[in-house]
Amino acid sequence: MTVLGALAGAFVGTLVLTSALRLASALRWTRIDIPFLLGTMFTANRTRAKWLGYVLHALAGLVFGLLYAGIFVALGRSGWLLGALLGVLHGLIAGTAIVGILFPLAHTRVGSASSGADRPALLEPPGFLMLNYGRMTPVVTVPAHVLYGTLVGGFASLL
Amino acid sequence: MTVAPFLAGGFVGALVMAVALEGAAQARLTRLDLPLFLGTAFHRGRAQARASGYTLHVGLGIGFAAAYDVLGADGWGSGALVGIGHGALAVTVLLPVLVPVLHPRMALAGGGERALVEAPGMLLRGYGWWTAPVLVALHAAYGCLVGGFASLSS
Repeated sequence: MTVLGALAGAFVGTLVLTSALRLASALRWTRIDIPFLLGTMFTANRTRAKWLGYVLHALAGLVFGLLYAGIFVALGRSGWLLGALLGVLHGLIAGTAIVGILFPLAHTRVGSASSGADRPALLEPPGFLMLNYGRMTPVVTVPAHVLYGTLVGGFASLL
Repeated sequence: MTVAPFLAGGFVGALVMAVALEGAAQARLTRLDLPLFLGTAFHRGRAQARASGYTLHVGLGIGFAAAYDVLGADGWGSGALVGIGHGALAVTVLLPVLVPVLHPRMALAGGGERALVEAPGMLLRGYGWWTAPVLVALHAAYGCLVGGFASLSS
């Protein structure tokens, strides 16, 4: 088990996760676009926000890969299943703490449950489990993060 | 066995607890928003308060896990048992007695003008009857994860 393996898995996992979300969006299962949400933290230009968000999402994927690696090192074991279980938690945190706690603090262009109507918001607040972007959203985002976790755990155990 | 698996379990357990507690609030089992409850002790702004409260909660989750190591709770079952004790302590002493003493923005007698959060009251009844059972169950799950992680590494 190596940290480098977990990082390689995180890189591949982020690509798979982003592609899965794009596919789900194209199939109209959800309106969520996590890279776009991240990108609009820094720019109001939608085109720039998309590529900037894609880069930020990839970097965030590597940072989360390091967290997974820390847990694997602490336990002295890794694997597809352990990674997948952590992926479930990761997907739920993305839909609760990241959009519910980080965004209201750091994102100036997205509304929140407690924000007023005194400024124009560019984006709808995602809400609990990002359900404001469609009822199928958690059904897409949680399994997509499970895929990510499976890849991180698998790569960590293989490399 | 080192303390590292306990701390990793504490980190994961605290995150699981935070997600489940938010789910319980969405299901209207409780009105307790623990990040806001803790964080308003440090910030008046709700966004900053929730972020600092969440960080504090996860930090406490990692810190409490070291106590599980001291108590020798290195299995799923023993961890869950210690977790029930931990939860009982939280709903009887830590949250309803200790936090109001330290919290400068809680709606207590004489302090309502600057209050941002409601006083929890006995067994946290101020946040709904189900709050205490939910918190004890979540602490049991937290303990289960801490002990389970310790048993996985051995």
